Amino acid sequence: MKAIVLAGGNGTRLRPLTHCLHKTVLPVFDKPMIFYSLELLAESGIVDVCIVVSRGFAAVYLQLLGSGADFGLNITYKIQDEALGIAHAIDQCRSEIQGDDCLVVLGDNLFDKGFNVKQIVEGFNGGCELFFKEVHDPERFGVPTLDGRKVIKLTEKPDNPDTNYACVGLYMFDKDLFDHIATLEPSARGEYEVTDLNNIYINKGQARANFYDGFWIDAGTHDSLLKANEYFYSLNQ
Amino acid sequence: MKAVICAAGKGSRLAPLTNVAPKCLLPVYNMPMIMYPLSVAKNAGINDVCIVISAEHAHLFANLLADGSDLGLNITFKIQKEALGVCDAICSAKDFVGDENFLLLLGDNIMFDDLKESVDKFTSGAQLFLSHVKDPRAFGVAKLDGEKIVGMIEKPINPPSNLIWTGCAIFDNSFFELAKTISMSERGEFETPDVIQKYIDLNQATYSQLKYNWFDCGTHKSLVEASGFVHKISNSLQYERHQNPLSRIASLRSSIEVSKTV
Repeated sequence: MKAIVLAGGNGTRLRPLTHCLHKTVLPVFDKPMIFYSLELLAESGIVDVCIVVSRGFAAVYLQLLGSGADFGLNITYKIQDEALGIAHAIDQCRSEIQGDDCLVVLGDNLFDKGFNVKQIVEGFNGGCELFFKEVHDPERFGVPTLDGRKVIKLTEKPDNPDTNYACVGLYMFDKDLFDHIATLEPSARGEYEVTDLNNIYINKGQARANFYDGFWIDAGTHDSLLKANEYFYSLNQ
Repeated sequence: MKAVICAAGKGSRLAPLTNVAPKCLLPVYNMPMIMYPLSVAKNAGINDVCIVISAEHAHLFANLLADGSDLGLNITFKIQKEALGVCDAICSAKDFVGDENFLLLLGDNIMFDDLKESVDKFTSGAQLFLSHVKDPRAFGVAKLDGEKIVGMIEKPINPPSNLIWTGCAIFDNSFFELAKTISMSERGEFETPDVIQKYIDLNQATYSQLKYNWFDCGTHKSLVEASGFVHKISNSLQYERHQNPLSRIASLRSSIEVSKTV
């Protein structure tokens, strides 16, 4: 198993902070945000990691993370020239990952420990593993319709959610991943959507749900970034 | 009157955050830290601002602030060649200050007081802005005799008061002459409190106490606390949410004045 960390995008919702720091290197308590993803990967036992960065901010990541040796990882960098969606970002890693299973982490999604990724990685048996967290406001997220652990549908921001689960920014895909990405069409907003990718696995009956009850946040807004800072600060008190 | 903002510190206590950007560009809730001292200067009616930075980070400051015109300021950058402390940083802005007086601000300090009246009334000497803290032992502490400041003691074991110097002050132009007369401290820097002591010895130092919260964002803990405080007041007070960062902070500041609750 290899891994992809997505650290592209423009972080427009976090302006003016992102005029001088790229989103996934913004502070989360005592570390740049992306350290949390890399530490999660280090725990999972995965060694080969591709980080997808946007063209304008590549230098920051190279300088900060280097070869990855500090984390016990072997990091390769891939440039996404244009922000054309998560599935498009994943596709940039085709040459490095093709032929392997892979774990994809969104760099602005923060998880606390207590999440046995290593076990899930070791037990992976093809198809795709999706991760869900119970929330109060599922209508803001991708929400699954479930049959036990089998995902039968994933709906983006539904008006009437079938469950109280939100799909978090962590995915595990088998080696068919890049073949599936090749069949995707851009969405109405002109992006290659990860939800469409997930739906390919779902329609084949190959998507399984994992339930996570630890701390999770998508640190994409000023308020959620502050919450993440306060949470990891409180753990250190 | 001009303003000098010291923002050249590396912020090594904040590593690894400061491996990416200098301390003064790190976020305090929804703004880069440097916006807060810039807003203090603008609020005090000072438009000519010099930011002293390190060469290593010059491009990041330039990207964010450019010439300052978007913020309604006229910004000059000066490079501090070696990390020799605040006093040396101020001296590197000597040409910029010319023969005027100046407001000194630290790039990593967050405060909400309006200094306009102090700036307008200032004539000569040094006016220090002090803040009351629970544990003053890590700071430069003011020794008072009634209403008069008679000494500035750096990191005292037995503090003579709970009033510490925040790093914010108004100085007259004699600062640069007095700075030449002090000697290097044990840690190899020229210390601003030593210059202040000269003003005190000349009977030319006065002080005011800040009314509102003051944060020195030098540690991970204080950075999160400052962010939490700004978030709290941003959401509890009524103020205009301008797009322009300085207008937004100014509006927040005046709402603190009105509410008197902070």
